[in-house]
Amino acid sequence: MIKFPWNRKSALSAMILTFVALSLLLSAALSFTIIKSTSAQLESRTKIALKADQQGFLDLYDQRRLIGLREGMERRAAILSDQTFIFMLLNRDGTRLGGNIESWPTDLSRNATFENIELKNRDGRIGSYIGLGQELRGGFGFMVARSTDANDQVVANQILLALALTSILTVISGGVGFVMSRRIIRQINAINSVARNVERGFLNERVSLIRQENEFRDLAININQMLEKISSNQLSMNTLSENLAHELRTPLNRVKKTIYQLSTEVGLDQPAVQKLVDTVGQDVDATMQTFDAVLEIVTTNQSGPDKTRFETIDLVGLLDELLVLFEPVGEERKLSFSVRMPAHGYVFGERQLLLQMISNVIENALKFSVDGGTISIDLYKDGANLKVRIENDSDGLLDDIDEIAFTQFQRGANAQEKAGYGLGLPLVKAIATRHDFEVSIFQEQSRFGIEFCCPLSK
Amino acid sequence: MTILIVEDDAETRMDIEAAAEELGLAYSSMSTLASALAFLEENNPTIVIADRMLPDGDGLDAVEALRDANASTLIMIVSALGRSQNRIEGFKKGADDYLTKPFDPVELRARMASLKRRAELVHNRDEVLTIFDLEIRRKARTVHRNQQHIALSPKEFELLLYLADNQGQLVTRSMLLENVWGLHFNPQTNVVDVHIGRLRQKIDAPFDVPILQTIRGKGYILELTKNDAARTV
Repeated sequence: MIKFPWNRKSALSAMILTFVALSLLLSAALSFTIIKSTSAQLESRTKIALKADQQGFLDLYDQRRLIGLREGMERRAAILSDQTFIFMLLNRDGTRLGGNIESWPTDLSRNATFENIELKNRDGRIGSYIGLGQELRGGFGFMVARSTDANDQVVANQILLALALTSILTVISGGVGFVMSRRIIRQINAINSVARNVERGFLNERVSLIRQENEFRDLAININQMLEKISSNQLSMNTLSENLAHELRTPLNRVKKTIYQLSTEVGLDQPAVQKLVDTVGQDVDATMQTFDAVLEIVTTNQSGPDKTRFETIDLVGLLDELLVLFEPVGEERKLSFSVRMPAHGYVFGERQLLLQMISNVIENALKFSVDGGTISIDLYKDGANLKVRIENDSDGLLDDIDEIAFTQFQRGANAQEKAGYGLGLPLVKAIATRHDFEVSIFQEQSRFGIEFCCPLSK
Repeated sequence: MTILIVEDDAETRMDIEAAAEELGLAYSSMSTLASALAFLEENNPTIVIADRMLPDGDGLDAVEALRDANASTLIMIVSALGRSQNRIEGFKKGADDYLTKPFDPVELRARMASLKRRAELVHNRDEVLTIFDLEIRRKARTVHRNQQHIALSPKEFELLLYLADNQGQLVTRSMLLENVWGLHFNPQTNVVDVHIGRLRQKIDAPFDVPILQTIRGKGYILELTKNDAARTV
């Protein structure tokens, strides 16, 4: 079914309205011109005929004076069956001498020249006439008039016809306008749809090419080429990251292997050396973890709009799994969890990244919560979003925390004596951004927390 | 049981070959994707260990080809591409395990041993697992030790089951995170240690002979110590 898009903001609606208005205007102007012309021509012909009638009678008067004129009128009156043509002759004293009407029309002057009059006919109807009056030699009054009813009817019929044709033309032009505009708008909408999907992260989207060689086909080709370029750049960046990972990890792999060999060859009877070997091994592991975290942040930021691997995920279920994992850790540290969640909360994302994001925040809370404190996890729906708040008891406000928390390698004053490199929250931010989540830090007296605003999956 | 090793880096390939020898597994080694695919057309290895960044392509292509041809081969990817996205990609293509370089040689051995055991279990998956006097019933999801019922939470049962499926073999923390909790990254806190500690409280603490051993810096093994094994014979 074709849905007629009536929308003030729609270009299609505007184009259709323009078509209809133009069509209406043109047809109205044309109709008016034709009707006016027809009316003028009919009036002109009536006047010519009337003049001829008058002259005929006047010629009779000239030739045969009053008697001839009266006889001519009687013959004419006998022939006429209706009163489309009226005439009258008055005596000097105003009495009737002849004609086919009983009295002189009241709104016709004695020497009238094409005056419009109205007269009640024999059958009682009021008819419209155009009349001529003249005073003959000898003081006799003489008038002739022709009915304009037929002309008026023709004009009226023409007006009706014009109205009907205008209406039909308006509807047809509206339909034609709709069809033509729709073709154009459909192509624009197709491009808009691709742009929206690319903006949402589906970089594989391309505009379908129409067969016709026109500006839209050129536009589609240009957009597709631009998207190819973006995808290619994305791929190059990913390849660079992967190569970087490979080239750095391979020699580190050899270092780890050497450490292992040292460890097995040294044995347990040289504890001091064993300790050194363990330390070097731990440093290599720490280096790799730092490298991994930085690489994860960089590639997550690079991937940015690419959401081809995303799927609908229940964030509530995910959080449930992480609580099973971390609650025992909290208990070991005498920390309790307070949880409030709805039954479900579906978002669009990548499961492992979301697990890592929330895991980092919970671990941050576990690390920095004061002894005996409570970690609160609060999820609730807020319109089209799911809000996630994870907060812990802290031992005071942290200066500049808003500025440094999400900055790589920056750590708050309370973190200096705790393990870490200041990459946990920057990774949280990178993952949140990748998912179009808003993330913010809040501090309220003795509570510190992180809040996410996550668009719910449609 | 045979292993196909696909690795272009000579040193890493030698490490994997050494681990295979230690586990008593026959192996064949290839250094390119093309040679690996050609080998797979003629042979049916039980386990495949493949690198991703091969000179002539991505090792994941071999994984895909294997999965199309033979669903039962166990596959481990060993790669410098270690981001969680890379790991997920590997699992989605059909890999059974994913080890990131640089790896601890102990971790490599532990994971290869786990794959070997899984290959054995495919043909002989016991409903009842027994380690000394600990009895685990897989379908009923019950645990008894010395004929006493031990109540475990669902996650504790899964943790114990994974250790039991790999009994006698080292199981690393990352293996537990991946296989029990489905996490392909390393949390900063000692979550695994805490959960192992809780499990130990239930299955070891009330009894005389501990069966859940910690290998310092490496992981855990579900088995009797040598002393206990000698004592209880």
